Amino acid sequence: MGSTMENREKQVSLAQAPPLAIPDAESARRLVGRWLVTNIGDALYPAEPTFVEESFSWDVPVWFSTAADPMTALVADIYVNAATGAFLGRPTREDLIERLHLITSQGE
Amino acid sequence: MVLTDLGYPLTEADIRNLCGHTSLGMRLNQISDGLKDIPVMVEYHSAWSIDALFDAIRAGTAPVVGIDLRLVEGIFAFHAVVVVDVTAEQVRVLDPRYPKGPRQIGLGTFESAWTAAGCEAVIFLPEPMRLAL
Repeated sequence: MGSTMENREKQVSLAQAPPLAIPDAESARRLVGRWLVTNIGDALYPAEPTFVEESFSWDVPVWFSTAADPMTALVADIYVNAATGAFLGRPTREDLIERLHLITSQGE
Repeated sequence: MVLTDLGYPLTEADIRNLCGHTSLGMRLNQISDGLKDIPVMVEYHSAWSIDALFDAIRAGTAPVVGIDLRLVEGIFAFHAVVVVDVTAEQVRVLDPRYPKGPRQIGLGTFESAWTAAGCEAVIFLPEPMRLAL
């Protein structure tokens, strides 16, 4: 009897838990991709995200990547909170331009 | 191609220069500002459904859209194409990488690729057409 009530309480609390804003890697990639194309430029591309348990966030690597030269250089990692979908710090456009110039100048 | 049809033959390089192209690429939401001195109406949309996009194509516009090439041909990159036609099964697009003519993309694949690239569309209208709409 007691255990049945306990189970019901667990079910109720689970039913009331809010859904994750970013439940999977594809959602994380799409969120970052949309931010990139609308705020930065279409020559950056979000690669496969990985989940970081310690911060409960998605780590989305961003590459300089075009149709002509795909996946040329990793330029940044962007972190997105899995529960809220909030960006946990992200580089500015100027930061990214500077990083890309640094990477390409090192490759010359 | 779209601007040429409207009487303004700009090259791809011209458009990039006008629209703030940098080493990080271009943004479709910059095109309207970049082409403000050309007498065509430029509309940027980022909240259209796929049906709204297809309605615009059937109305005779040729939207410039971003797509995620990973979902079309496995290339990890965003890319812009001009959509010229849509049927029950295929979407025909002009892609600068294929200068010989339009290429076809399956409807479902196109929808996924367009959605993954942020559902952006830019349409160009001559002034009379704008008034008609």
